[in-house]
Amino acid sequence: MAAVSLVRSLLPALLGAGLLVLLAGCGEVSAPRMMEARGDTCVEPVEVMRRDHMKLLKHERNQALRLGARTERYSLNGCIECHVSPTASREDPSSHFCLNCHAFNAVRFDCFQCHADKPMPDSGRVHALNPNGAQHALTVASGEELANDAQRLVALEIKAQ
Amino acid sequence: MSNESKPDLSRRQFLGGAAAVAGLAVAPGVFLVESASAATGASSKVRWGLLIDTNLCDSGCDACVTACNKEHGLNGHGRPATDAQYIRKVDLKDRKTGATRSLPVMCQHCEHPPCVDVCPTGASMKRPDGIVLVDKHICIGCRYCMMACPYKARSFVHEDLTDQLPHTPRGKGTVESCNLCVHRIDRGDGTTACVEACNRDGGSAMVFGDLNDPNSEISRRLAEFGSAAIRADFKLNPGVRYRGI
Repeated sequence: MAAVSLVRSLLPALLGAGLLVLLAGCGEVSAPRMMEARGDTCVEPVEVMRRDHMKLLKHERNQALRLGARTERYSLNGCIECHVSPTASREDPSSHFCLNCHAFNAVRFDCFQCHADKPMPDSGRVHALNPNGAQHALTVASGEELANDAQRLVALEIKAQ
Repeated sequence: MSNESKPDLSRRQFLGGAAAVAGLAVAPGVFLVESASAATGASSKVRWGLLIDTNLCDSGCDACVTACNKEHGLNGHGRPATDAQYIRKVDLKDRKTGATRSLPVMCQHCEHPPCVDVCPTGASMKRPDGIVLVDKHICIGCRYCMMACPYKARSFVHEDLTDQLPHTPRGKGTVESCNLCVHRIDRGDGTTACVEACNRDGGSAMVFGDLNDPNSEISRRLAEFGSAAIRADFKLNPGVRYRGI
């Protein structure tokens, strides 16, 4: 009995020690290399889009499908037109803006089982905020830009506390 | 323990801070989005419909079917029994007189759609302007609607799909049918792919328009020539009408 109670009392400490060892082994995680978007500005500030893009998209989806009230501003096709290259593919998430970040964050949700995953170059349609055509080439965003974004988010969190 | 006593606090405060910056959320969890006034949406004053003159429809012509498949990216897998089809060409023959008719049959966009009645999730739905659609976001693929539809208008997607078109999202495990080219209607085109193709390559047998507007071409033709609904005895009041059957 005494041995069992000893193990019981030690168990949390053992688990804690194990966790510390695990954490010590972890290095810094680098952010996924995201694509640059066409155009200079998104439909909302980056902080809003990072956290709440799914709410905007869900609202838009219900309004558009069930009521026929389509706002170009928050349409999924609009996201694709600015953020995804015509040569991107679901099969290679690193080439796709949405799936790249979803894969990094272990988000399994995938709009693109049904929705078109890349812009149609000959559709003649481009998002209102997109000054370039759908053909405009995309490059990977610089590490500095990503670091700035991350810093802004951290600053926001500290301010809130 | 101290962490357990105030769970998630920093996260909540953070969300509050984010809301102040964004000016978008009025409180955590309450979210303001641009109101529908930006796009008024489908009006219940309108009821979209089709009139098909079977006297002008040639049995060898499938211009409407081809155009529909192209418009919505319906690429079959060479399995006619299960491949998705939004329009079927049906040939009728009167056994006594030998008279034949050919007509395209698609979703009839009923005023009282049985598919909507039986849908357990609310995925089958009728828009305010009378277009009957499947909300594939909440369709569970049970296929009750396919059994309920007296027109055999719906198809089930059995296969994984790739390269769908931006205006027609389609996916495995959901039911789909003619959506009356809803993307064109919302864009204000005032026609559908099948009607366009019938006027261009076919016998100009199809007219698209607003059944509620007495001055629209479809209403004038209906008033002048009359029409029939397929299986009118069900009293579903379909939005697709036929002449000559």
